[in-house]
Amino acid sequence: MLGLIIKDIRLIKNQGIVMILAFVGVMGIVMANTMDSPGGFVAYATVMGVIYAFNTISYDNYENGYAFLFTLPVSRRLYAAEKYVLALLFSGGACLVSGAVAEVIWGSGPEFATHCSIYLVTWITLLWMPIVMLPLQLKFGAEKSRIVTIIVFGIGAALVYLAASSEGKFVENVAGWMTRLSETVGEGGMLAFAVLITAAAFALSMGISMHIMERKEF
Amino acid sequence: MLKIEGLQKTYSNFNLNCTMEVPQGRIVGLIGPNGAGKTTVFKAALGLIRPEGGQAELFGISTEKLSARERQLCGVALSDSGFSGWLCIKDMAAMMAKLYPGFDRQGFLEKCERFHLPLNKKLKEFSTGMQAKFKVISAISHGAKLLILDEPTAGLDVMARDEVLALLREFMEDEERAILISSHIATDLESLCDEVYMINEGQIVFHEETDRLLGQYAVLKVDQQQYDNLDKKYLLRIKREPYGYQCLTHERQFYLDNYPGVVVEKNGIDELIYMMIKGEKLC
Repeated sequence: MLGLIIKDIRLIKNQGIVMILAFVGVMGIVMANTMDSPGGFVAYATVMGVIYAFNTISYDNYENGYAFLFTLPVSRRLYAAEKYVLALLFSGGACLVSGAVAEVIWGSGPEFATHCSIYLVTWITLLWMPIVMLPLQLKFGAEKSRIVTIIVFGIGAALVYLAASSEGKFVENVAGWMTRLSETVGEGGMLAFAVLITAAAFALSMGISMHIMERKEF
Repeated sequence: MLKIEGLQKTYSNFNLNCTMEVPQGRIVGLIGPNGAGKTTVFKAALGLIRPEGGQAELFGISTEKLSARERQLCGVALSDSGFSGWLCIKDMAAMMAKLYPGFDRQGFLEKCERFHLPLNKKLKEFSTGMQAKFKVISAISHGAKLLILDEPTAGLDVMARDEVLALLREFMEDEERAILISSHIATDLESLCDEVYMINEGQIVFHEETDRLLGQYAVLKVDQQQYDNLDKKYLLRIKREPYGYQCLTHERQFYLDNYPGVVVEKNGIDELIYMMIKGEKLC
């Protein structure tokens, strides 16, 4: 897997890493002047990390590149797993670095612990991007997967809307259940619960992606 | 090293049914017209497609179950696919060093410099010839036992082709190795291969040792009267021409000895392909 990670890091580097960092830095300065909290900046940087991990799939697949890639000593399962590791590394790294930069720009002070928990929740929330989108990207390719992603999110939004407008008071019930859970286990327990759910979804998504890659022909 | 038995694969207008073998110490050529199925055979041999019948084995392992270890023993150059164009040679060296325990980084970089390949330029900026050279150098630089090369000399000028072929001959100095190669440049295969398979419309239609092909096969050019008097038991294919017939035979000496008036031309792989595809089989 290390060989694949080296390839992907060098691919990103060759896209002009200095430009990327400069752009993110400028965005940080702009946001510092327009936002009270660093959360938006960290979320922005983390999303950028995830997107760059996604982009490596397009580079791999460009001009029938998969055919040659899978003649190398790289199994298809390992390839799929590497994309998840990459998404974790890039999003986690971006979150960590942007968090550190945000602490300098916005100033830490007594809210440091609160900021850290915001960054952690931001990272965990944004990990749902690779959870949902990596199987779609691997199945349909970069272009088609954008359309499929819009459809999937559209269906999700429609389901939420239908649930919210139904007479069964679905939203109130879920909100009530979450409140009771929060009162029982506390904020730490809720965070652990979120980590657990995200980790399970991450593993499930990775399994689906491995299966997709194993079924493909090149 | 590579064994393909009754391998079947169907696409909309194409059926592959192939049996062939690449033994240790041999260079085997796969020839055939465009769309004959050469690339499909290569893909099946590398486990890139799933056969619908039959079997392909690399180093005794089904190609559908190849592990990293078997793949490390295989050097590959494909005509329509390669390393990402956004990487440079130094990037590739770093990656291959991690993927292949037997990767000779120093030798790889030296060969690239010998072939005037820039180490820091992105591969997508390479000319067709430079890319072809790079693919072959990559395939032979990690201790592979078997090379699978689909059109490795395509786009190269005569000097560069000669250099690439010299690399392949150097690779074969170790008799434990083998090569499966396809090319549209017949002279490359004639000078390099120990044996050739010919594929047409997904079927292997011909298999012969190269020495025998070049030494004993011939094309006879005869008019109608000569054709009528000809003993046809050694004719493989005939093709009607304005002056009479062209006939492919695998017993050149027989016709030289017994039909002194007949034009007997030594044939190469190009003539063989032409006659096998365009000619008719005698009943």
